[in-house]
Amino acid sequence: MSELDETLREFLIEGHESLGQIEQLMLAMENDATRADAMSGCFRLLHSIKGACGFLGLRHLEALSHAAESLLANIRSGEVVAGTSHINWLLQAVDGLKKILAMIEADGSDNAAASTVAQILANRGSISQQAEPAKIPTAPPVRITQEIAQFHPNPPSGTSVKQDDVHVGASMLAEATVRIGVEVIDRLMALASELVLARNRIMQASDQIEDAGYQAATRQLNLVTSELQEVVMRTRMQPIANVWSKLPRMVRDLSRQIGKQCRLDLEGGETELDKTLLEAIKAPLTHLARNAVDHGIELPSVRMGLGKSAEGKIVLRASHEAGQVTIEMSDDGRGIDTDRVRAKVLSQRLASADDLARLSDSQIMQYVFLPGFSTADRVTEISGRGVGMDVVKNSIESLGGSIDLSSTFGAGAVVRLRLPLTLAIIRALIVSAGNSAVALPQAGIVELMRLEGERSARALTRVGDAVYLRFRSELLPLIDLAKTMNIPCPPDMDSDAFSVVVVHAENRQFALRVNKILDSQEIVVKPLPSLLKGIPAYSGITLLGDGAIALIVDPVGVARLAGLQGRRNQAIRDDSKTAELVKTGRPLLLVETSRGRIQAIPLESVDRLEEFALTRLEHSEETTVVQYRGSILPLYDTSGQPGCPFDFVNWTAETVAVVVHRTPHGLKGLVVARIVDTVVESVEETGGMTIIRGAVAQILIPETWLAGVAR
Amino acid sequence: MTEPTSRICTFRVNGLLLGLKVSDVQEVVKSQNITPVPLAPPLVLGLVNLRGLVLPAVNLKWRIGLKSMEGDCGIHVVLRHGTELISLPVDSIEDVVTIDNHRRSNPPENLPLSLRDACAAAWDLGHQLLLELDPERLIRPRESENT
Repeated sequence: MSELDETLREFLIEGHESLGQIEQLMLAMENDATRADAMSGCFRLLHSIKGACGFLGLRHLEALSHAAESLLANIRSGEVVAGTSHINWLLQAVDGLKKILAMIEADGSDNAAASTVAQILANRGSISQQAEPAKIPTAPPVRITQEIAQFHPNPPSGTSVKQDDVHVGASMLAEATVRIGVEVIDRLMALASELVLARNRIMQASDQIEDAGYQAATRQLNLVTSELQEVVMRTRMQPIANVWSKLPRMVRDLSRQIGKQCRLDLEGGETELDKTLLEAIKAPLTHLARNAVDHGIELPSVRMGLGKSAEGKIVLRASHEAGQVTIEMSDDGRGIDTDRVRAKVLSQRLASADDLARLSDSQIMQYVFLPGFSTADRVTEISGRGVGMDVVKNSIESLGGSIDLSSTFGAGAVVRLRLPLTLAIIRALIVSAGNSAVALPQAGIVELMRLEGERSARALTRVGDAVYLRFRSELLPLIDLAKTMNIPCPPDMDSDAFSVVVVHAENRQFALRVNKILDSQEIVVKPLPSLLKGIPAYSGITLLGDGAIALIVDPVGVARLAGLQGRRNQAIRDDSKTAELVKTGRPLLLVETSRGRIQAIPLESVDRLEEFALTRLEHSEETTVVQYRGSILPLYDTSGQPGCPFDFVNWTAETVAVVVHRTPHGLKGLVVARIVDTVVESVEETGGMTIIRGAVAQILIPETWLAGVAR
Repeated sequence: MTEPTSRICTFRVNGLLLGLKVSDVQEVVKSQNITPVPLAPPLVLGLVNLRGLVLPAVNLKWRIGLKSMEGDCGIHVVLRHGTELISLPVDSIEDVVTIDNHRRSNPPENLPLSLRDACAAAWDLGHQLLLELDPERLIRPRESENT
C-alpha cells in the first residue's frame, strides 16, 4: 500500500468518506422518498466519485458509479418513483463501490472488479420499474450485505482483503486518517505545553523526594511528556505540496498569456512545514513564480536562438536542512543582468560608481530587494512595478526566515528561502525590563552587549532625550524598553549597568536597552486575547517554565512607539554584509544648522553628541565656551563661515546641541540646531555637496572647517 | 424568556451585589496571579494563567466606575465570551440564586452611568437589589468614554 500514488491515496480516503455519507443519505431517502436534499447530496457525491474515476483510469468503478448516478437522476427527474427495491439496489451499488475501493487499496487498480460490477449491473435490470409505495418497512442493511455476499461467494483472486472487511467498508486507509478541526489541534498543543510546564515543576520538586519508585515515575513522565509534545507538534505539520500544488497551473496559464512556454517542476513536496507557515509563504511563492515566468524565462524564439530548449524550466525544490526548511526556486531563463542592476543603482543614486565597482556581484544582487527597485523596462500586468522583492523579503523575514538571490547572467537565477519549521514554537530571549520579564524573538537579533560604568559612558551618546549607541562605527538609536513601554521600574534598580540588544528589522538597525538578559529558550507562542489586540508592541504571549506569563515583544512595534521611522530607502543592511558595506559607504551624521541647512559630518570625526543649557555657556574673548569634563570646550557655529565662533546672542532655544570633535589640540564643539539622524550613504561629492535621501546636504569635515577651509 | 426562573451567580465588589447568568460563567477560581500588561487599556488589569490558558483579567471596579480600588479581588469569576474566556476578579463570591423572572426589571435610572451601562438587568431579591452584568457590554469601553 505504501507505493500507492498520493493522488490515489487521497481519492480512496475521500471515497470511503463519501460512500459513508451516501449510505446515510440513502437510508434517509428510504424513509422519506421526497427528501430532495438527501437525493441531491447522494447525486453530488456519486458524481464526484465518478469524475475522479475517469481521471484516475478506474473504469469499473466509474461504470458502477455511473449506473448508480443515472438511477438517481431518473428518480430525481420523476421518471422513476423510488421504492425499497431501488434503494436496495442503490445500497448494493454502494457496497459494491466500497468493495472496489478496497480492491484498489490492495493492488492499486480496479481490474479485478469486472465481475462484481457485472453482477450488480445485472441485478439492476431485475428491479421493477413500476412505482412502489414509498413507505415500506425498511429492509435492514444487514440483509443487503448478505445478498451481495451471495453474488460473490469467492472474492476475486489477487485480493488480500477479507470479505468481512469489504462489507463493513472499513478500509485500512480510511481508518489510518482522521479529519480533525484545527481548533482541536491548537487545543491539544496548548494542553501539551501546559503538561510540559507541570512536568518541569514536578521535575524540580522531585529532587527533594528520595523514593526510587517516585524517581522512576518522574523520569517516565519526563520522557512521555517530551514525546507527546513532539507528536502534537507533528500534527500541525503539513506537506508543502498543499500550497504549491496550484503553482504549475498558474505558471502554465501565465506563460501562455504572454506567449512563453514554461514548465514548473516540483521536488520535495512531502517536506513538512507548520500549517501557519505554509499559509504565510503562499503569497511569496506565487510572487516568485510569476517573477520567474515574466522576467526570467525568455520568449521561445529567443531561447531557441540561444541554443536552449523552447520550453523554459522552473524548478521548485523543498528540503529539510539543519532544523530549517529550504525552499529553492531556480529557472533556466536569462538570469539577472548585474550590469543593469548597477546602472539602475547609479541612476537611482543608491550608490556611487566607485562604490559599485568595489561590490561583488552577489552584493549587487542585494539591491534587488530594495523597495521600488525594478530592472524591468516595462510595467506589465504581471510584474515589474518595483513592488515585489522587498515585500517578499519582508514577509519571509517576518516569519523568521531569510532570502537569498543568486544568478548567472544568461543561464538563470536561483532564489533560496530559509524558514523555521514552525511558528508555534520560536527561539526567544527572555529579558527583564523594569519589573517585568518579556520575550524577544531571536530572529532579527544581531548582537547582545552588557554595558557597565565606564564602558556604557563610552558607548552611549546623548542628544536631548535621544540616546545613540556607538556600534561598529555606526550610531544606532537606543530605545529604552521599559520607558517606551511604560513598565514601572523598582526604585533600587542599578541604572548604570544594563544590557543592549541590537536588532535588525525592516532594513534598519536599532538597539533596545533592557536591564538584564535572563535566558534564551524555545517558547510556545500563544495569541493575544482580543481585548489586547491592537497594541503594536506585542506579537503574542508565552508561558515560562515556572508558569509565569511573559509577553512577546515585537521590536518593530516598540521602535514605532519610540517614534522611530523606518528608513526604507536606505542603503542595504544585510546582516552578513553590513560590515563590508559600511566600509564602502561612509557613515555620516546628519545635522540641521541654525539656518535650516542640512549638513553631513563624517561619523569618524564625531567624538560625542552633547546638549548644554544656554545658561552654562560663557564668553571668553571672542569665542563662546562651555565647561566640559574638566576642561574648556570652545564652540563654533557651523551655519557660519568656516571656523566661525558661536555667538549665542541671537539664539532662541534654551539649549544648544553640540557635536564634539577631538583634535590634537583638545576638544572642539560644533553647534547645530538639531541632530537629524545617522546614515550610511555612498557619497558622491560635488563641490562639497552630496545628495542624501534626495536632498542636498553640505559635507562638513571638522578638521578642515575649523582650520578655516570651506572644503 | 420562556423559563419562569433564572439562575444567577452572584458576587460582591466593594460591597455591591452583582451577578452574571450561570450560563455565562464557566467557573470560579481562587486567587490568581495577575501579570500586568504595560500599555494595555485601563479595562485590562493584566493576564492570568488558568491551567495553561492565558486569559485577560478585566478591571471590573474601574469598568463600573468605582472610585475605591480596595478589596483584595482574590476570587476570579471566569466568564465565557464567544470562544474566549475572560477573568473577572471580585472581592467575594456569593450564592447562585434562582429567581422568578417577574422580579426582573431594568437597571435603576439613578445608577451612575458607567455602572448602569454595564448592567443587563436589576433583580429584586426582597431584602436587596442584585445588578446583573452584561458580559458583552462589560468588555466594551465605558460609555462615557465612547462619546
